[in-house]
Amino acid sequence: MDLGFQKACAELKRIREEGVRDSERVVDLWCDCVSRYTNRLGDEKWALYEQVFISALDCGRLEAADACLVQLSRQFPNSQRIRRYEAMRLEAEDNLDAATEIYKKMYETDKLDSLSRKRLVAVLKARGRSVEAIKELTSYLKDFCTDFEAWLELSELYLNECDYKKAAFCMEELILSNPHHHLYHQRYAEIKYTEGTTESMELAKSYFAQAVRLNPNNMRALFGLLLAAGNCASSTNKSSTSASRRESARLAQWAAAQVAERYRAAGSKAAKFTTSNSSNSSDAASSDVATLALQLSLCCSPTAAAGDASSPSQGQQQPASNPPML
Amino acid sequence: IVYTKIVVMSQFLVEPLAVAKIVLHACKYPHTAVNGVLLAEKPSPDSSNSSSKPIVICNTVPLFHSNLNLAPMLEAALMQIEATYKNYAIVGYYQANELLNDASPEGVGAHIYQKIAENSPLPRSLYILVDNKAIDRKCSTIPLIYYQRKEAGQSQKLERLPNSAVAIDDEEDCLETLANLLVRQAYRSLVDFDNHLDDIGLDWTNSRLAEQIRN
Repeated sequence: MDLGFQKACAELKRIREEGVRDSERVVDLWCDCVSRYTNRLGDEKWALYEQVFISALDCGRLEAADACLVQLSRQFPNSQRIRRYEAMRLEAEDNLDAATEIYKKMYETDKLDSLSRKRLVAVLKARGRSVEAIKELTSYLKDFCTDFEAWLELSELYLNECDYKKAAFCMEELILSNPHHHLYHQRYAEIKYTEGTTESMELAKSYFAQAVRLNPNNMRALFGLLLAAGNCASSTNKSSTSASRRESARLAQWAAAQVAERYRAAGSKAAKFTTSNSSNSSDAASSDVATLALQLSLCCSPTAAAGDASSPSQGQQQPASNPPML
Repeated sequence: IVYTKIVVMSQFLVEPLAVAKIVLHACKYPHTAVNGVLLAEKPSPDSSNSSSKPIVICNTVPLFHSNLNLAPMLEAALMQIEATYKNYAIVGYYQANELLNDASPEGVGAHIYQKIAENSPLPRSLYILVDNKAIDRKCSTIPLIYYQRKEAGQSQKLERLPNSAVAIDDEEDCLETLANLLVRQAYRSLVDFDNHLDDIGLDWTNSRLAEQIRN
């Protein structure tokens, strides 16, 4: 790959700033375009060495990682950060005991060292000991309760153990501190949907709706709203009134229309830029989804109307086959 | 498809396109678990009882690389797949675990597989687990492990299938194609359903990639 030194540096910088995990690309760019010309790099040299080091560990390219580590340790002797990188290098070789030793020592010397504590959790996760990882992360969060990344990680650890209540609790903490972040609302709604009870489905519907309000282009939230509202509309639970079922059906239809609209827009955009073959398939796919979305919402209305004689118009739609629900 | 003796005696026949998409999906996200479903042609209503012939798994749909155990997007994906692939049925599930040493098919993957198996129109369903340790650029073996549920209605446990139960169509050619794809980093252009939800302009059927693989 011959991208040219400038372009390669620009792309590495973009990856660094966006926080994307594209380790293979970083190491390839480094090895092919940048590593020979490090004298041309300015102050960003050290940030670049760090970035390449971590990415190289991620892909198992240990020689590249070592080359960067040597430069970094020469420039920053006696640095805690470099010490942590040495421990990460041991982790990459699967020498987890030695790495754990270093992290524990670092934590004992400095109780405010949050990063080595988090690496301890990572090591436990790598060993497959998720219950201990959860315990360690929970005690970390008692001391550092504003660490959003850690709350997200804890939520995922709980999800892997299928402990939906606790996973939801972690998301609640995140929503409390970032009430305008649509992704937290959407993830919370997904967890509630998965729980599967009537109350949690109602909650899922509300939180998907909130996510859509915060970001109308969040496709997961739109699909989630369509499905959750559909489930609420066809709920046979005693606590749901026919008015609330009608409301849910309306919401499902609205979400379906939004989904269909976005697929139509995407399909027409695809048609402009691709060859005729693929545009046909994406058009067909997009119109299929549009039809499907509308069918799904239509199948909600007859059921919602079933318990209530005073809504004749909705009952005339052909009920589509019920969507397969897990 | 060449019906060699090996193929005829096996329960499933997996086509190279399916193998390639599974391995590419696992290689695209080496740091997380990934999953997807397996597709086979729907049996025509007038076909004779074909439980003796191997079920041909001709394609897969890569689904997710994050939060595999959340239901709503899985339901949305399965509905879209059924709407798009009208002549095909979902007959199985594949998963690559997050940890290198984790070779267990149990957990949420097993649950999804059971649901798929219950709803499949074909007599048997397959669970493919990617053997993380066996993936390497030389592609000397097919890095997949096969499971199936014991008879329906029983304890629903998964049992491991011997490699003889699952044949790969034209295995040597498949391995060579796979090696080429890995060298060219073809996994970067693979689109799974998660990618599609992030940008619905992306084609989760991967028709372009399929053309590349077939050639």
